[in-house]
Amino acid sequence: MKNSTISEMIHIGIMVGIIIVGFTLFFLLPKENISENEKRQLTPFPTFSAESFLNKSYAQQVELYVNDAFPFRGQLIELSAFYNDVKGIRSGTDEIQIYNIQK
Amino acid sequence: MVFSSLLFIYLFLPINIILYYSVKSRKCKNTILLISSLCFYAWGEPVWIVVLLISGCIDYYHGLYIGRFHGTKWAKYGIVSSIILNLSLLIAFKYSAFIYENINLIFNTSFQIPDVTLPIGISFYTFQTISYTVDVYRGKVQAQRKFSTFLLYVSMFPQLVAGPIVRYSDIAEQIENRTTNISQISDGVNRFVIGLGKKVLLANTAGSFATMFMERSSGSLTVTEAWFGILMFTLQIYFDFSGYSDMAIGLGKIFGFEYKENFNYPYVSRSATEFWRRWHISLGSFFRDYVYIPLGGNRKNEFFNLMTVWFLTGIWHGASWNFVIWGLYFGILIYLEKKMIGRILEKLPRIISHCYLLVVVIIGWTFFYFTNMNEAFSYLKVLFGFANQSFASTELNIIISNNIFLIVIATLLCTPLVKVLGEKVCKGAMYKGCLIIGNVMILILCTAVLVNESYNPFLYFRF
Repeated sequence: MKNSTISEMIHIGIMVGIIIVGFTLFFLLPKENISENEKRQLTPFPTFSAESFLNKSYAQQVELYVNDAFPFRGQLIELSAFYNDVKGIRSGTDEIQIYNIQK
Repeated sequence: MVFSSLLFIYLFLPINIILYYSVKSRKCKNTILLISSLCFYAWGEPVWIVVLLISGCIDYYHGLYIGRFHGTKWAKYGIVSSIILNLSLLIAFKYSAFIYENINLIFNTSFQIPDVTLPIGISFYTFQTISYTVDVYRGKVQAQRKFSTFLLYVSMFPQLVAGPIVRYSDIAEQIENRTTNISQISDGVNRFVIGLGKKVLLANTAGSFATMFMERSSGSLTVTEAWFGILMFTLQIYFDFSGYSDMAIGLGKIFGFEYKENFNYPYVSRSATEFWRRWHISLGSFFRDYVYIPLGGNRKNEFFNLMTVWFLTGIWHGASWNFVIWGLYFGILIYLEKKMIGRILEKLPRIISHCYLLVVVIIGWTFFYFTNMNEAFSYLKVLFGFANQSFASTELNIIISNNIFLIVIATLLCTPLVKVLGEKVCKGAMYKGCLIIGNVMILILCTAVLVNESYNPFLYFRF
């Protein structure tokens, strides 16, 4: 087998692997009901009804549920905050955001 | 369901990949793709999937009819009927409210404005089906005899809701006989992840800044804030739409399909003409082949033909006058470039023609963004310093400083520079290694941002 084919197989294996692991852990790991850090109740899995499906609220609730029940959610939020910090240059640790006031 | 959602990436996609690759025959693979495409559409559009199915039925039977009477006057009737029915669906769902509003305004009547929600992707799949029947009429392709195969072409989820506009002639052979190889799948995974990164890491951030400044009243904007707002929108719309096209092309490759490119670094163009050869290529080529050339192209009534195409290009983007003005603005620019400016632009130093293109595109995006023309002109006044607004803003300095790396990276990624440099610096095994590490980082980072983010609209979904 050519080297390029092996590296392509490794590429596919790793990427599909991450998605499959995320998929599997989503079903296996226990779900939390409350987020202590955010001080809010996490979205519960919605009850299906023909009406909620047809008016798209069921699909929206399921998407919110998946976001809230995603494995390693806390760590991923920390990673997202880190990404937010490294987008640019920040001076000091305490930030003040200045907003324009419409006159 | 959007591609850049956790539900799609971690639930819909793995189930699909597992099912698709667990069967051997092409027939079973097509059945799985068809069912998953219909589920994908029904999830986001549970009621108006009926319109998609009706559109599919109309063009399937028209295709058969036109194919049977090919070369006779009956085929001509068939193609006219197909175009009328397709456009009627589009007008009923997309333009009826706009037409009623304008009738009420012009004739001072009070017809009730119909409250119709736009079925997702109707502008894309209607154009696909029109291209199919026209190509059957022209004898370019054979009519598809199997309804399920034709419906798969119309509804295939990678390109269904936001393009690119895939022509039947380009993928007819691939639907029937396609083979997938490791290299194509790896390429597809790479394109999908790049598109995801463009959308989640770049377009969404740029979009939040564009909204922050462009939604403000122009009276409270400074000149630099107005420039920053429109530049962020310029980045957002490019990364949003080209990111979606990358994901569509990538998903197509994963399932064995090769779609044509839809973007080719449009912001490096030196004229509006060149810009439209690089931006939303599938739409531009659709209007060229199915409207401009049949009208006579540049052989007769060139100005009229161009204005018709650009009026249609504008209105295709939305049922609002600002889109019409945006389309005609580009039509006039392209006409002027053909007749006069084009030759001058070619002789000018590259930097000047690039600046010309960027300014005309930015003015164009201002018309595109604001549905209210007064707001667009007020914004342009601030932009070009005719509104006596202050120049600088402390708030903007902080935002730029806090996001400077992202802004620089996004700007560089609008050019082929990063790709060319990357390919020169990283070769062979090193390139493959960088690709894997880069893709893993982008996927995990996108996942993290999606878990934490609520701002995730696709701009082209409203078309």
